[in-house]
This record gives sequence, structure tokens and C-alpha cells, in this order.
Amino acid sequence: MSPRQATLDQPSRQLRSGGGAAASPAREPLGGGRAAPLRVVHPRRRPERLRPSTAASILAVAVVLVVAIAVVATQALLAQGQFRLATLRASESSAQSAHQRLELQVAQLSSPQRIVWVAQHKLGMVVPNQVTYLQPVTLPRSSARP
Amino acid sequence: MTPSRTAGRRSSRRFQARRRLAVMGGVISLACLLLVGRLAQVQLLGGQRYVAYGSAQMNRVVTLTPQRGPLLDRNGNVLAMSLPVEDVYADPHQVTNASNEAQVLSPLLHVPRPVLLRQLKARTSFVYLARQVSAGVSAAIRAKNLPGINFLPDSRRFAPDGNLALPVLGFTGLDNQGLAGLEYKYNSLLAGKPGQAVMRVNPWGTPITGGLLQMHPAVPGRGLRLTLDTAIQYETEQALSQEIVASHARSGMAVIEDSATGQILSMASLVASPHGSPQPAPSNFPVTYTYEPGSVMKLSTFSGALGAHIITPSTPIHVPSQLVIAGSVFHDAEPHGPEVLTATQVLAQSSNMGTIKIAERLGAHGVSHWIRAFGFGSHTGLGFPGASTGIVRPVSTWSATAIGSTPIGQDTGVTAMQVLDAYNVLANGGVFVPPRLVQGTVTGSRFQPLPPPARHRVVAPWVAATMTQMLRHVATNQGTAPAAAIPGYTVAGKTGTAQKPLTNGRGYIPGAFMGTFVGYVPAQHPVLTAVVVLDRPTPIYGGSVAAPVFAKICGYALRLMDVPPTSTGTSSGTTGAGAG
Repeated sequence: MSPRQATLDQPSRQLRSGGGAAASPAREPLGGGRAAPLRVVHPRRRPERLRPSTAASILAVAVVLVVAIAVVATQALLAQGQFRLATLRASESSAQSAHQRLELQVAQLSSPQRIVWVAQHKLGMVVPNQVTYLQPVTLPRSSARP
Repeated sequence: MTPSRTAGRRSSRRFQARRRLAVMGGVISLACLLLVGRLAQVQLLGGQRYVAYGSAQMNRVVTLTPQRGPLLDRNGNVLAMSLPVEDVYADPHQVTNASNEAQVLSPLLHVPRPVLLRQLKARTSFVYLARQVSAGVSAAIRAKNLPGINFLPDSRRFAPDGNLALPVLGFTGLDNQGLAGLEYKYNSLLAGKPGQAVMRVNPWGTPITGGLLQMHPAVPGRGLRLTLDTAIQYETEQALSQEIVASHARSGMAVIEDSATGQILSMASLVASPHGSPQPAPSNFPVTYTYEPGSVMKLSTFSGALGAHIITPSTPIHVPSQLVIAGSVFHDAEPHGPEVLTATQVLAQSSNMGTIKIAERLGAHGVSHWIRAFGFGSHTGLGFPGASTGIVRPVSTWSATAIGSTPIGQDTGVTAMQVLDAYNVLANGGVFVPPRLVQGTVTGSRFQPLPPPARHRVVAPWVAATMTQMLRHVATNQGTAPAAAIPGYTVAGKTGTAQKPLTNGRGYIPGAFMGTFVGYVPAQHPVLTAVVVLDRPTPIYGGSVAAPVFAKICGYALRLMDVPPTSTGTSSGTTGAGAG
């Protein structure tokens, strides 16, 4: 017999013979000595404890789910970052190309033949027939002003 | 049917069933064995091969073209540089409408439509449609989004100054390999190292985003800072070009060098063109073209004779009207009677008779020694591709007439660069300064100078100083090249007018001469040494055709370099078209 059955079947006996009841004064039965009718007391339903294996499984599934979501999120961030990197690289390459094209343009614009052509044909400059060098004359000390 | 027969049949069936089972088991076992064997073959023996197959299908290896280093002049101006461009190629397997694509591409690539159509229908997975197209063209094609048309990164060489100094700089091929000139000589330094990128691709060959597996970036080539000065180079080419046209010469060459450092400021080689102004020569003539120098070679005999105390500037030399050596008659350019000239006059008037008389006193071995001592017959140290050492015969192979012909610049082959360096010895007080075309390398903004080459003494300082005093008379009215004079400056130099030998070496081409002037300025403290040579000019004399070019280009360079005039008082001079 299980302890639960014993509780259902022998409630009075337990009351009578219980350790606590023995110490308290016995109550007079109600109704002129007649014993009160027995009633069925339903045991309070307590939640059943989960087995350790079930809990571990749920935890494992949860961890796997979290990890999977984290991996997917990381991969998404990584892909996003790589895409941004590729875009920036392309942009850098494009800027470098533009810079080099501008360098070439500067070199072309400053080439001697272009400068001469612009000077002669656009600005109307002419090559001088003579170049005169002026050399300072050293004055004697006496004639030099203070 | 009796029970025994029935039992026999049962036994027979059981036997047959067992046999079938055994056979089937054997077959299955054999098949399993074959599968295991094949698996072992694939996995163990040929594993690497199949991995490679797989990788080849999944991964694409892209070679990254390095940026070729630029060529800069001494002031940092760009002479040649590379720009990123793209090659256009097609994968005909992916082309869906070859006719339409050829129609679209033809005007963009400037390639006839039938040619493109043939390429787009070729039975291959790769065909170049155009190489090194500009960014604009590739962008226009990309915008059309044509199936099967792809692009490869490439780079192209540009010369912002056009043909300026082209024979010196050289050029590159389609694969950016230097093919001539400095581009060839310094190719390994300029080219850089290609990189490599391994990327994962989808089944259609398109790279997957984030599928970059390996990346070894290309190492860009280093740049070269040359010793050339763009403005002086331009002026040199202009002056030489004008003289080639004016004198109807076939070609011309000119070099200006910084006397003290040997750095070449300009180096021009031009050939006459029947269709207009002279064009760049096919090679760098001053170092590749060998010719008989004529009277500029007299430097060796005079320097040797001075050093051996055979002559002094004022030593009287008995100059006959002509000399007969081993049956050959030698005479001066201008007929004259017997006369007495000082050694200085012999040099200033470029007397062949006087020079031969001095050479006879110096001796054949002496003449030969001093010719070689001044660098003739050996490389100048420039190391330019195709540079010639010239032709200097050892004394043992001299003919009987060589003591007459060699001292006056015949029977000997030289380059203009050798002539220039020989006179630069005198400009540097008797020390040979090897010429240079490259100052150093440039990586980004960092300049790494090349170590200067070793110098060596050729003649004593007093010999060089005496020779300079004697050569100063050449560029005066008493000399052969008054046209070489630069107002405000003192010029020391020498003319040369030499016949051109026949290609078979037996005699000379009638009426064909090489006119040369070489000198340095200011004579007191030389800053510039220059040589000008014209091939078959009219008039033929170096003093008439080469000397004016010398005066023009050196006068311009002196002003550009802020070299003050050495003459006292106010002076003036003619100028050329200057660029800067």
C-alpha cells in the first residue's frame, strides 16, 4: 500500500494515533457521540518534477538555436562588412585612377611644347632676339653714401 | 511421385539457391571491392588532382597587374607614367547575340564589325576584343551590359610630353615590358611584381561577394628620377631640329652634361623626315651610333704631347702644305703653303699637318695610349642598352699610314658620348667623370639616390688647364668655331669635320661628312659640357653647323641654371625659344 492510499483510507486512525493528537486533549464527538462522516479529501496536485534528461535537451536545443542565430547574424554582418569593404575598395581604386589621370593631365598641361604654343599663339609672346645682362658696377668706397 | 524423388528435387533446388546466393554474393562482393578500389584510387592516389579540379571550378585565380613606376625628370616632372586601363575580352560561349553585340561594340572599340563578329563566334572561351581601352570606353561598354563581354585590369604607358626624349626613355610593349631605352634597361625595377587574388566564383564564373580566399597585392614598380631636364631637353631638340632642316642634314644628335657631376641634362637624337619636321631617331644615337670623329680626336695627341713635355702652347710647329706617309697624301682642309704655327694655333685652326707632326714626336704607342686613356674604345659607364664601345685598333694592327690618320680622327670609331666625356675630362681638371642618366629611384614620395660612379684621373690638372687655355681659341675669330661663342661666357671647345667611310670600310663616301662641335662653358669654371653632331650637313663643317647649335642650347641652359656671365661689363646674346 502506498502512503497516499494510507492517507485516504485511514484518516481517523491517523488522527487518533498521531503523535500531535496524542498530546492535545481529545475533542468530544459532535452530535451526541456520533462520529462525523468521512469525506474524501483530494490530495493537492503538485507539479511533477522534470526529469534531468528532458531539461538538458531543452537547454541544448535553446543553446543550439541561440548559437545558430548568432552564427547567422555574424555571417550576415560579415557579408555586409565585406560588401562594404568591396565597395570602398572599388571607390578607392576609382579615386586613385582619377588622381592618376589628373596627374597625367597636369603633366600634359605643363609640357614645354604646350607652354611655348600657348605663349606664342594665345598670349602673343615672341622670343626676344637678344638677352641683355646687366652687371652691377662696384662703386669706390669714397663715392658710396652712408 | 515417390518421397525419395521429392526429397532429391528439394535438395537440388536448395543447392541451386545456394549457388545463386553464392554467385550473387560474389558479384556484390566484387562490386564492393571495385568500389572500394576506385574510392581508394580517387581519394588516396588521385586526391590532390581531384581537389585541384574542384578548386579550379570553384575558385578563380586573378593575376593583379602591378603599376609600372614613372619616369621623372630631375625636377620631378613626369616624362612617362602608367595609368590603369582595361582590356575587353569575350567568352563566346556566353554570347547570346553575336551579331547585335558586334554591332554595338564596333563603334566603341573602333574595330570593324566583321572582325568582331568572327571573334564573338570563335570556338573558344576567351578572346581579346581590344587591349588597353580608356576608362571612358570601358564604362560605355559596361553600361551596355552585353552577355559574354568582360574586362581585365591592365595599365598603359603615357608620355605627357609626346616624343620628347623618346630614344632615351624608350618604350614598352602591350604587356608593359620595357622594349627599348631606359624602359628596357630598368625594366625589372620599373615593372614591380604581379600580385594574385584567389576568389570563389559561382557556376557562371561571377565572383561571390565575400568569397576572396587569398590576396597577395601587386607590388608597384619603383619610379626613376632621371638627370634630364625637360626644358633643356625641349630646347635641345628644337635647336637640333631647326639645324637639321636648315643644313639639310640626314640626322643629328646633341647631349648636354653637367660638367661636375656627369649628369646628362639633355640627350637628343633626331632624323630628317621628308614629311615635315625631324622625328625621333630609332635608337639613342649618342651612345649607339659609331662614326669617325675627325679633328675632335686631336685632343688625345695634344694632351699626351703636353703631358710628355713634347710641346707647350707656344711651341712652334713647322706645318707643311702636305705630308706623304707610306704613299698616302695628307693635307689640311684648306690649301696653304708651308708655315710655322704655335701648338695653340695648330689646335685652334685644326691643322691636320701640325697634329700629325706632333703625333710623330709622341709616337704610335703614345697616341694609342692617350686615345684609350680618354675613354675611346671602351664603355662610358652609362650602361645604356645597345651602347657601342667604338672602334679603336691596337697599335699592333695599325697600318703604315695610321700614324697620320689616327691622330686626326680617322681609322677610329667613336660615339658622341665618348667624345663628350673625353672633353669633360678637361672640364674637370683632368678627371674622368662617368656620365649618368639616373639620379635615383622613387618609391611614393621617398627618393633613394643611386651612388655616384667612381671617377679616375686621366691627365694632370696642369695639362687640363693648359688644354682649356688652348681650346678657348677655337671659339674665337682666330679659331674654327666662332659661332660657338656665347656672349658673356667663355667657351672652350673643338670642331670636327670627318668623312663618312663606306660600309665596306674601303674608302669614303664622296661628299658625306659628319660635322661635330664639342666644348664646355664657362671655360674658367665649367658648368656645362656639350656635344652636337650632324650627319651630312650642308655646309659640311662642324664649326658652321654644329657650333651654332652648341651656342644656342648651352646659352639657354646657362640662363635657366642662373649661371652668371663671366665676362665683365654689359653683354648680350641671341636666344632660342625657351620653355621655362
